[in-house]
Amino acid sequence: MIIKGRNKIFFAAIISVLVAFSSTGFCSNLVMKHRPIKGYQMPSPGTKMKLKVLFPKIRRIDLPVKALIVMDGKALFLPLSGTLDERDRSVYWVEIRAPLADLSYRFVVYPDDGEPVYSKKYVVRRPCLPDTRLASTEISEDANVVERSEELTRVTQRLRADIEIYSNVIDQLKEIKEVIQ
Amino acid sequence: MNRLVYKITLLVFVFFMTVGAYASSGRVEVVVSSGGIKPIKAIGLLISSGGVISKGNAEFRKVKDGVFLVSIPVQKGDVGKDTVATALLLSEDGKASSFGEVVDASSVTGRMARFALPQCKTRKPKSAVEDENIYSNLGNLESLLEIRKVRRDFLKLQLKKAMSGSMLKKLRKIEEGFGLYTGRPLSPDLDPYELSERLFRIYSVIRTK
Repeated sequence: MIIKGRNKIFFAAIISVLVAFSSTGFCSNLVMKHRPIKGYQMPSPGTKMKLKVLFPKIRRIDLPVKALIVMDGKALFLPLSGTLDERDRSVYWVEIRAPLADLSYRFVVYPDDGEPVYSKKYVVRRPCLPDTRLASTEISEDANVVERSEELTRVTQRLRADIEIYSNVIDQLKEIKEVIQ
Repeated sequence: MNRLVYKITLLVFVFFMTVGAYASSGRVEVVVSSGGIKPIKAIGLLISSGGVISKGNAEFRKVKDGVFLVSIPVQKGDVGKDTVATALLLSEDGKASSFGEVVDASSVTGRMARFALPQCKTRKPKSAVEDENIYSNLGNLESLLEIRKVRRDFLKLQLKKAMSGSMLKKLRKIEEGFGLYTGRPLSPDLDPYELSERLFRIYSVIRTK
């Protein structure tokens, strides 16, 4: 089988992510604590969500920490930002977009000396596929008062979700513009 | 009595044999965009740190325009803890699609493909139907709907304006250049979820390069 062009880049990326996924290291100070969310708790697809990992035994915010993420079957390798929590423990985080169906990820930290340290792999899957279509604002004319009230409530809630995702898209576009211009 | 014990033993044996056979083989399903080609063959790839296993006998079926579900046969020995699966489609003249999604192949049995997940049911909204001022609430809800509709349509327009001309060209070029292209050109008219996901991937790629 011949692998050409853009597929080559894809293939190389997959292999490197896999090699990273498969290796394990150990460093007593670099213990990672992370509590994944449940599938039913995932925000609407495309909206912002954070992945946070806590390092209870260190107080540094400059460690190179990355997340190997497969989101709806597409791989990403993202750097995390460091901060200290209220108990002065290191917390690293990255903002991602909620997937349509599933998300699997693993954190990796590169100590100043020694081998990279990997967390376990976390897998989160929604119990069902959310509807991502834009809200239709048509309200049935022959509905009774109760039905009309319920329908209006449902549509206004869907519109709020549409507004949130469009705002996110516009913000994302601004961030891209800053990088490429 | 002896016969009953014999039957139960046989039943237990058959049960474990069935479970064993089921666990030793299975299928992994991968979603692939055809990227405009007319596929005649699908190749499944099982990738692990130990190497790549190519499965030329993968089955495929169309799920919607330009999107196919490739079903890769997997034997127990093919997958380890770190194995992922992907696939590509080939046309008659040897053209290949991009690689499809990457899925975890380490737990083949019981795995549901994305397309097999049920659609979420619409929840009945909590509304103030018990309120004696329901008619005034209806008026408020109607106003809220109008305000939100106007706000959404305004954001849509704003996006259309921001994502046009040279900016749109650049974005499409980045998608193509980094192998992120999914077969449907980037456009502000796409489903906002798809837009959000694609722009986030573009941003992640250019930020980390």
